[in-house]
Amino acid sequence: MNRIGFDNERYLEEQKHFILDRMQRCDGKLYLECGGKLLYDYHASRVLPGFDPNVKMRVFQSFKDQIDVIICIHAGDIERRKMRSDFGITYDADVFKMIDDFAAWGISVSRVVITRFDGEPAVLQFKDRLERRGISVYTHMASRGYPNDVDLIVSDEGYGANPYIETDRPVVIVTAPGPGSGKLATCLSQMYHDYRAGRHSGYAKFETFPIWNLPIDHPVNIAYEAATADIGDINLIDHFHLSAYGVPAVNYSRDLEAYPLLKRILEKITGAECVYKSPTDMGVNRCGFGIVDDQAVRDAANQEIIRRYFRAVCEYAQGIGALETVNRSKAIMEASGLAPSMRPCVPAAEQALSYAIETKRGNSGITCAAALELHDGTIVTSWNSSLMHASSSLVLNALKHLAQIPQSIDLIPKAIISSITAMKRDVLRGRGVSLNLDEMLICLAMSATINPTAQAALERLPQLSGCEAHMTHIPSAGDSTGLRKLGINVTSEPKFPTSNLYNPA
Amino acid sequence: MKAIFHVDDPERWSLCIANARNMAAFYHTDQTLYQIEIVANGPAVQQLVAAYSRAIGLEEQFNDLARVGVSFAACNNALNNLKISAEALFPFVTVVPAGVVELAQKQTDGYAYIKP
Repeated sequence: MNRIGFDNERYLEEQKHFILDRMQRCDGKLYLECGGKLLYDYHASRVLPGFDPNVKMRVFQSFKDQIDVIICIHAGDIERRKMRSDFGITYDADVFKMIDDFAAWGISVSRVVITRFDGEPAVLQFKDRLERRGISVYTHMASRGYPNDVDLIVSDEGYGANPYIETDRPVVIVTAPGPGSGKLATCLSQMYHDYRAGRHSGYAKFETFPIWNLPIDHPVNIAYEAATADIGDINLIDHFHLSAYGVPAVNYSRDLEAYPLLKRILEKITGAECVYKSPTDMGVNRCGFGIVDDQAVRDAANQEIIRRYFRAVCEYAQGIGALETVNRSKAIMEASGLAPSMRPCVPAAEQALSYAIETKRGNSGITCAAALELHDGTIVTSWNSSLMHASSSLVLNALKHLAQIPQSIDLIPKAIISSITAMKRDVLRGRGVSLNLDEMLICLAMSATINPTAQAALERLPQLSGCEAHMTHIPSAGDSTGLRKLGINVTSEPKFPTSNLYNPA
Repeated sequence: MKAIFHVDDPERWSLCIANARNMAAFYHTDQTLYQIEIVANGPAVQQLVAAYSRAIGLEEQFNDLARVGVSFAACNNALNNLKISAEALFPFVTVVPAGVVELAQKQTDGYAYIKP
């Protein structure tokens, strides 16, 4: 399990040199549109075991004295308070977070552009907040003539109407909290101004998935389709690339559809034939060259396809996903010859649930079970009780296994658990009083100060990162938070543990 | 009079402490010499960790028994299993190589075996 399939350091060097090489081919600046996540790219680290989720930021950090950063945000996303599902924060809050994240890596961000701005009051407030923190904020209107009238788009009334964003360094990273933020238009608008001023700047795109030099049916590329099932991205053979070079390359549908227009716009801006013969040509992604064990990567990506299926069905059950996404995820999984039972912790959790029901375990008539696959392949199971949620017991059981502590040992004194449950029930008037994972971890940390056995267990917590878990019921918010913090890849059946509509515990 | 108490279940500590306290009080009143030892093995050794015992409210009761001459022994195998070092125990606790061997040895020496 978790065999390394990706050489992160090799990729880092390769990627850095490729971007710098592309920069040197420009007679001016290189605007690098970054799609996907620059930090915390856990999808990539799951499908490419060995991939550092922050490696793209490390790439930039390695030549940080040559880069400027522009963050784009669509005015409508500020107005609608659009959320990032992975962090649970709004796009405008994410802009602040991104600036902090870049700063933590030693890269200063002092330019933000609000795209498709139309005088929205919430946007003006956001602009003020940024400016008071010393960030230069630019506003771009919707591009006139877009998408049909290239002559108008590439004119003083189109891109020319946007203020030019002054930058100092040769590589300008253009990034955003999410898709549809106007990154491409910002790059092209900048190029328009540069060419008007006699600077021959260039454009390139930096995205990880799909990996252009892997087969279209490679599980890593299929896992990308599964990850974007909600927006319906489809991997296609880049026929532009195939006809130009005779070499097949994989790209996704949106980029292929946009290429003809983009090519015309670039040709209009530069006044010359487009240097890029295909959308794949525009990319600088070298990820495929970091793969060192194809089978390990295939296995990991297949597991991700199954995880994505569970995520889709759970999001549908919770009312935050569409049935189409479920059907698409299921079709992708089945077309790959995969099934939920091929995720080892899934049948283990089902067996644990059957056992728990047979032996009348659970709490107040509700029985939930969970299973966790450790890095050595051992599967640990658990169920809920009047004291703890199933996920809390699961983590404790896993820690006992890792620390070789007998399962019969109580790591948290019953007195502590009783005191907390009494407080939740009698003082806080809570409905669910058993300990969720977040609460259990706090208890364990407290217990570790007085109990060497608990301390030994606590020290094993980092070993749970990257382990696989499955639950027979949708975890509560407290359980989800705890599991996410521990870095456990968790899936669940699309069942709620109770019939309550509000279940924050 | 010689007696050895055996505790292997953490839930039995309260009863064991009460039994030992009552026994010591009786012989004290009776002016009879006594040797009382409590042997802990398995999960019950956790309660002999001073900080842990303090947190669960048993510290004073252990100290009281030690003050009236009750001795304590902890099984080294159990300590190893539970990752507990001897330094973490009360200072009056002796670590014995194996709890069961200590129990057998003391019974051979004429100690009465009591399991609360």
